[in-house]
Amino acid sequence: MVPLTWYLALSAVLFTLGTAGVLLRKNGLIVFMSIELMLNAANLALIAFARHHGNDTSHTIVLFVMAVAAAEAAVGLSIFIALFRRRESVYIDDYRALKY
Amino acid sequence: MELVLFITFGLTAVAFALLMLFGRNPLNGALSLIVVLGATAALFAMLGAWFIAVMQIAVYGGAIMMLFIFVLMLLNVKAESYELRRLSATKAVGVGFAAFMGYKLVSLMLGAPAALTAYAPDARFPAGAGTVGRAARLLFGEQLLSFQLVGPLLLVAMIGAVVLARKRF
Repeated sequence: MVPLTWYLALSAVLFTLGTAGVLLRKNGLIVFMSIELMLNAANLALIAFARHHGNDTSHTIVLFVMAVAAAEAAVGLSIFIALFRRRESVYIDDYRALKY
Repeated sequence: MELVLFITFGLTAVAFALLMLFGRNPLNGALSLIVVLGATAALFAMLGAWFIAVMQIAVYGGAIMMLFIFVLMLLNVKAESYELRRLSATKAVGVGFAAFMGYKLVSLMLGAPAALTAYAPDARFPAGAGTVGRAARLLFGEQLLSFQLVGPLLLVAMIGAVVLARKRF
């Protein structure tokens, strides 16, 4: 039987990798994918705790997290498309100024 | 047996997450993330959340990542040429912070006392925990408000996406 702490440690490792991706990468789409990785790690922790407590309410909470992630991905990617039309670049280094 | 499965899926998830982090081609990054999502779905199934495991593959891997890949195709993002090859102070700070945060989180998780992290006995779970029927009872019973709010959320997201991606924004 795998202990609960191992699942939580795996969730922490995935969360850290997502954070490293957000901090270190300059391609905006990779940053976005790292955010999805962080959300996934949080989902893993939620499901692990559901098994720990014997209460599966957090399964539906995970479903809502997935719905919010989908909505965020849709709007965020359309923001990327709108930005790309102006600047022809997805690198976040090229978007330094607050006005054009 | 569960240990073998956990190590397999856990290592797969971490390995492909690292591939996504350090890969130069964003399309390969998206495909690696799909593998990570599949491994995490397998871990969900191991924890008894079968409905969520299938939803993960269908919603996350099938819809969200497809959205990513479509946008990658639309914006014609090519493989990186200059990224991740220069070592700078900000990069070192980023790596240092991520490593410190990772160490703290993992040590916190692994150091929890054993009595606090025992699994609940099977008798404590509600009938049909983790199945579609139980999720339906939760969604239309206890969490009806949240469920109804997801509808307008998705509508607003759809409207926002259409408005933002128009030509004359």
